[in-house]
Amino acid sequence: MTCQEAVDQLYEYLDAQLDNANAEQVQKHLDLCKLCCDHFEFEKQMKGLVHNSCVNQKAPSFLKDKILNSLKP
Amino acid sequence: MEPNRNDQAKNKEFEELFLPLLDNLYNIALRMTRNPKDAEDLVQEAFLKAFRFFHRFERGTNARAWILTILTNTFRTRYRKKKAEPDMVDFQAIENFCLADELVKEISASDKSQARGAEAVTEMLKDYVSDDILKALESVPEQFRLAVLLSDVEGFSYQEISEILGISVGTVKSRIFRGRKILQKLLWEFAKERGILKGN
Repeated sequence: MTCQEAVDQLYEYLDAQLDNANAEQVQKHLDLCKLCCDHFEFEKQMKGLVHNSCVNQKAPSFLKDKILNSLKP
Repeated sequence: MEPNRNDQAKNKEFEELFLPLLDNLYNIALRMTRNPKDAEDLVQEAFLKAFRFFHRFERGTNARAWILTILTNTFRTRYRKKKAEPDMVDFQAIENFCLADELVKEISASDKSQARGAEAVTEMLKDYVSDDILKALESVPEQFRLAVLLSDVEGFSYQEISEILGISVGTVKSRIFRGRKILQKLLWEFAKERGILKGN
């Protein structure tokens, strides 16, 4: 697998969307190629940053009350 | 009127399934609407619709995906036109943008003594704070933003996202890819503007 082929599939690999055979090929390339491996680590970190930035807000407590009230039979 | 036992059981089941998802939905709604008031309204409306159509929910299937589909559709029909989307003109340039490469170039320019790779760059990502990421996300056009959120925040598969958004898996893929590139490009611009790169 060339670097370009690995990079083309990097997001699908990162998102665990490749089938086993393809994932294994990308994994093999990443094990051998430091450049692609660094690139992958970078993208993984980015994905984590987006995730962590978007999960830390608590819904205001009045919203829960409002919803519960509106569900009452 | 005394609520009958069926209604009570239905309410209880609904609350047990969906109320634990409230914070989760609120976070996503915030990133969709980009303001707390609209996010509250959106979440409330999604809950009401979900309750009204609860009989259509197939027990044993993914409750989070189901209510997120309702939230997404509600958002798309109701709130999307409220706040103007930022212009995203130069798609060609963005297609091939890679933040890692830009950062590598930047470091090697400022630190010629040693060639450093993306490893150092990954380290530099830590300089971005949550606010930078959120600000950048807000500027990613909606269609790309939704796909990225559903993948990165909710962890859905491309297939699940395709069902939630009602688009093909191929389109999901290209929206996630482009969304991430746009996000990286915006972060890069912030970094340049504010000099948050260490070498600057």
